[in-house]
Amino acid sequence: MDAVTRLRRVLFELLIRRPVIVCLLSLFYVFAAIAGGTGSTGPKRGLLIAVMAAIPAAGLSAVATERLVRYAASAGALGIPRHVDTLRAAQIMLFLLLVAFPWLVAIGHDAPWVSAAALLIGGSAAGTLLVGRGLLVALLIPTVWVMNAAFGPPEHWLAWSAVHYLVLAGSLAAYWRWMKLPVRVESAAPTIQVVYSDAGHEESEADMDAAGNVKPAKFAEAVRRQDAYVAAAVRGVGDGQLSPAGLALGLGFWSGTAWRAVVISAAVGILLVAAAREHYFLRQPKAVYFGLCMLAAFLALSRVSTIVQWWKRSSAEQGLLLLTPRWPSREMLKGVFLVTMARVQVGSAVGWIAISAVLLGLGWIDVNEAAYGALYVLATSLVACSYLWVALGSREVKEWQLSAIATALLTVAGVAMFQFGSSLGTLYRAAGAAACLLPPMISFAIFRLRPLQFPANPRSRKTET
Amino acid sequence: MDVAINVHGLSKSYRRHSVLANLDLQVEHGAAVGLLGANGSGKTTLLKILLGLLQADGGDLQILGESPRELSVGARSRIAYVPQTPNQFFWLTGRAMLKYLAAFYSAFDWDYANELSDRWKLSLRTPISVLSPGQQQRLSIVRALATRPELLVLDEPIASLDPATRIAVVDELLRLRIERRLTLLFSSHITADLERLCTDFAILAGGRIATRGSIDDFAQLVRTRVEGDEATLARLPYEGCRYVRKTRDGERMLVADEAATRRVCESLPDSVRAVTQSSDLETIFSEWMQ
Repeated sequence: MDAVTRLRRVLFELLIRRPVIVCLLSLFYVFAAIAGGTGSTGPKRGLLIAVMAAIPAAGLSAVATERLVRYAASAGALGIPRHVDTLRAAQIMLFLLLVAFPWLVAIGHDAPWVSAAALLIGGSAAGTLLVGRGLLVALLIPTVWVMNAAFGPPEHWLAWSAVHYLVLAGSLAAYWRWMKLPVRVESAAPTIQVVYSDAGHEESEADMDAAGNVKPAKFAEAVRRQDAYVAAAVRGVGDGQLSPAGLALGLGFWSGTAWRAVVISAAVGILLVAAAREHYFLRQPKAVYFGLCMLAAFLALSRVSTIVQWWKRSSAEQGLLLLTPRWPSREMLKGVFLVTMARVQVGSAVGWIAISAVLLGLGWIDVNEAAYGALYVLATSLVACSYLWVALGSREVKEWQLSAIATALLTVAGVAMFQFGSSLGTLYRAAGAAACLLPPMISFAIFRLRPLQFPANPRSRKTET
Repeated sequence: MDVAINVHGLSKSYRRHSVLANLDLQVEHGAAVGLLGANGSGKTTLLKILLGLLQADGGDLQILGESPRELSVGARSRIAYVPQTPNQFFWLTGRAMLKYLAAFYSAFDWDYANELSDRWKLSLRTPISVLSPGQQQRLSIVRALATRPELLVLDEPIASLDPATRIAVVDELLRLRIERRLTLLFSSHITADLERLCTDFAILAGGRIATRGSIDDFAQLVRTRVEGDEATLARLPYEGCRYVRKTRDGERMLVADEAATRRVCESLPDSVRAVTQSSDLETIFSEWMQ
């Protein structure tokens, strides 16, 4: 395989695994192109392009980094030659695609070059930090708070050149660290294997614990908790029942809800809106609220997408489960999938409801705004469900499910028509609602009518003969 | 005869590539059939179809008297499978995986699972993802055997095992075959183990079972190289031969029992020279895999 093909394949692999998210993020580039082609000229238009390109740059960088860590770890453990070089080339290519090219377009539209660079590289660097260093990104909130307290509203101090240079320097440092990530992960990966294999896994567990630096008490506690978790997950199997937790354990994902995280996220969300009301964060409390709605929607989408990913990945395990005498029938399993799909979205839904209820109660948003928030969350949830329904009914699962992408795009168009079409008449809004509802209805019909594909048959897998 | 697996006219294609074509196979209860074939010959596909994990394009299939795609609870509790890739449920520890799967069986033998784990030095509390491939294979076999199956389907299960463990695993399977009349369908490339364990061999080539016989049948076979001019070699009848192959150099490689080989050699014209070669099982099997 030549270097160009290898690079293309790696780039493709880094971005392909979350097709729906990648497609939705790519919509921002469409908005950037629209912004570039229309409206008034001047630095504001250039900056708008930079902002529109910085959002997907952050998301795509996060997606790519998550995959990059996985591949580097596998390649390190397997000792694949030249893998680091290919990953580094892919990183450079990502930088060019996500940062350099949009920057050139933005400054071509009169954006100040330092500001545009700070926005784009800052966004992309934040994305890379989200994987493994999410706390650093979370530090932005108190930083903004402190800056607001000291220097007034952000539109004031965000315009300072010093801030731009500071963001640029910090982002470049983060980027430098990111560039070295494959080497770090690949060189650490074999050590993890060696700890276990050379620690005498063929000898005794005590030797292995010692070499792996395992504390017996902690390990015993972990074993006890895992036993309890497995016992709870398979409760009812003897009576012919399979719980969502039982299905999730067999397929390798988690179907529960981290309630503490939901409570903390809801509280932080309400604080953010409160801060926005108090003239911080660009004085746009409603924009912050809609941002939170989008976040809740994306979290729900990502949880459902996780089910699809693990379902595709666990084909061999599904084969073994299918051969067990108490494994439910395909028809019953469909029901379990439906319950699981609803269950993984509960946290996002409860978080959103809590934020909306508090803000409605305080009178900070009105019923209309809450309804639009609900529309965003519901529409995204339906896109996620459609993705799962079609995948589970497909005889062969492809990496890029065109129906899911079409559903996502139709839903975005439908939501826009529904929200902004009130002045254009009822028919326009009805068409918007139909665009949102029809694809999920068709997907659900496919799911109900077609036999459940279990075990999954992912197309990308090497055919075993 | 009491048949555990009965396949007639099985065919399977991946898009335009035909993998299995009009394949017939019978495995009797209590038999141990070694399935041999070159890489990519369709062994895994055949085993997966037999277990109902892949849909066949055509043919009649029965496993323990039932259709593989609609196996009853009773049939499923009597079948176990050891897949080719052993790192299943890598997100769990060995112990958690066994506990999870045990819940789906009414008679999972925990004592036996623990005994085998001790005997084969298997750490059940280690995450499966960090076990060596050999350890993962041991775990996969323990998992299958602890369900106390009547029919065990193994897809190259011992390739990563060290010689001592491989012998121990084969010994255990042999014991179960003799004491519990365990039926085995065993795909492997390690002929020495197959020789110890199996009662029959089936060689998969060209999408069908190219030859099938008992270990005694195969033990009698010898390989003979026949050299001469192409026109003469093409005319020869090679009667009684199990297999005839034309090499790149135009020679013929014959596989036949000693009596048939003698008859063929005696009927050869003077211009043709025949050399009988090594006749160990691996050499004989490799002929069908060329």
